[in-house]
Amino acid sequence: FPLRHHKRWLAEKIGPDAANSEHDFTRKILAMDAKNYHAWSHRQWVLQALGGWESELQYCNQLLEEDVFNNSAWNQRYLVVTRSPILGGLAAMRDSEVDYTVEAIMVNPQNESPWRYLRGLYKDDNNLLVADNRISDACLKVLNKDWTCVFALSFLLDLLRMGLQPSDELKGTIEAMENSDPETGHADIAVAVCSILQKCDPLRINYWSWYQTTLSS
Amino acid sequence: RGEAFTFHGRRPPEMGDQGEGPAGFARARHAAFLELMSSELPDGYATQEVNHLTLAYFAVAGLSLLRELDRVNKDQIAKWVLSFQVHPEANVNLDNGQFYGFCGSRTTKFPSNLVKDPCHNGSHLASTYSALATLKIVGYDVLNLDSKVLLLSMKKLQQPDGSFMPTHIGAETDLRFVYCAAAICSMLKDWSGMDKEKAKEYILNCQSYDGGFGMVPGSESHGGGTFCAVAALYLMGFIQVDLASNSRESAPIDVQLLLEWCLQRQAADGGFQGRRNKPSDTCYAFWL
Repeated sequence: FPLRHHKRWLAEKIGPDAANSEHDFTRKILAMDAKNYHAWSHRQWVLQALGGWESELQYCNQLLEEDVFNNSAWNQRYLVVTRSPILGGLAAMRDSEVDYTVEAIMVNPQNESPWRYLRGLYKDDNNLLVADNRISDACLKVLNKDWTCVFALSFLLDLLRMGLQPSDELKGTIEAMENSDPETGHADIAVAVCSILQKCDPLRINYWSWYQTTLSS
Repeated sequence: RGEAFTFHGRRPPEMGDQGEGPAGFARARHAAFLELMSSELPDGYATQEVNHLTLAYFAVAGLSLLRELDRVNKDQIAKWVLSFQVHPEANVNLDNGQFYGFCGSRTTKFPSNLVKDPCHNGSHLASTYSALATLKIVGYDVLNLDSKVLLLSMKKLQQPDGSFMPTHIGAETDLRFVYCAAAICSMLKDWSGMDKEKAKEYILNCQSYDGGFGMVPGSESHGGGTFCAVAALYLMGFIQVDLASNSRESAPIDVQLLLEWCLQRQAADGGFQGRRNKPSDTCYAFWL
């Protein structure tokens, strides 16, 4: 632990030339342990203090190809997309990132990482999120294949709460889900999704039922 | 050894190991284990000697939670903890940048033969936090402590970005030490030891795009980091209990996202993971 601090002190003295060797160093550690927390924070520190951003997005691509469930790699991607001085920032990158992320979701909708990353791409901008049809389309596509997908359902719930006007197709899909459980039948689509979540995500049933009570207010 | 809850343990013992199923809680054995740890640590812990105070805190806090504190000599423990407080020498310049808190153990009390160190001071924020918490648990009134120098010198550990270094020697700063500082001020009922606004700013910068908190800004959301962030904000008075139900909109953090992040950390096996898509670990049942 103090050794890392000493390394930083040295790197700060040596300057940007140190960036490459520091990146090689963390890359070696991450090759053995792709989620090593200390390696990732050191890598982030080097990027921000000494540079070396050029190949970082590609590095994230590589790690996600190896393991699309690697949340550390998704987190690093977020840093690169929002902070890299050569990529132009979140607004410039958002479009291509949405496509990339939706593709990752389709590969495995049970992977929570891309769902949260997708949400993160529209951080602090709910209106833009609701307006991007690709998002609600992705939820719908996933639910048509697997109506129990909790991540799709909860993302949909968030969109509805933010003002999404459900398409007829969406309303139809929800109704079809409800029909498989004759007990339910809600006029309000958000409430319907909430009650479906209580069935599909029983570990968090208390949360979804509480969420439902907040919808009426 | 299998009976005890270890803090970085993985899975609970298989059913039938000690005649209890998963629903059983080997209370008496946990208490006995913690009592033993309060008096003597097995030699496997030798490499952790510098953190002796913290280990003592775990043992004593565990006994307290189990309502078994009478198994230990509270006065003796208080005296032992107090022996680690570092007092400035007479006539020393208190603006020397050193932190005068508690050091972590017997070995850190004394200078090394190898290093020319006339003013040896092994004070550490985590040790100070552990010391105060332990003293409180065993019934010592921490307001009796000579804490003026402790707090004044602690403030010097705070960085321009609001974070805290754990020692004046210099080391990495992260949320853990912000939490320690906040807990120290809270226990001493004296906030002169830190700039709360700056600390809050740092904490907010640690909230990730997914609602959890990383140890430093930009880092992946982490169970321990999230605990430190939320606990520190609460202790400093920036958030109140029942946050999700009341005044969600005026909270300085994204409560909805935080809440869902925390809830999603419970895995199918019932345990809690520290980060998304990682295995569950018993310690996160505490942090989350």
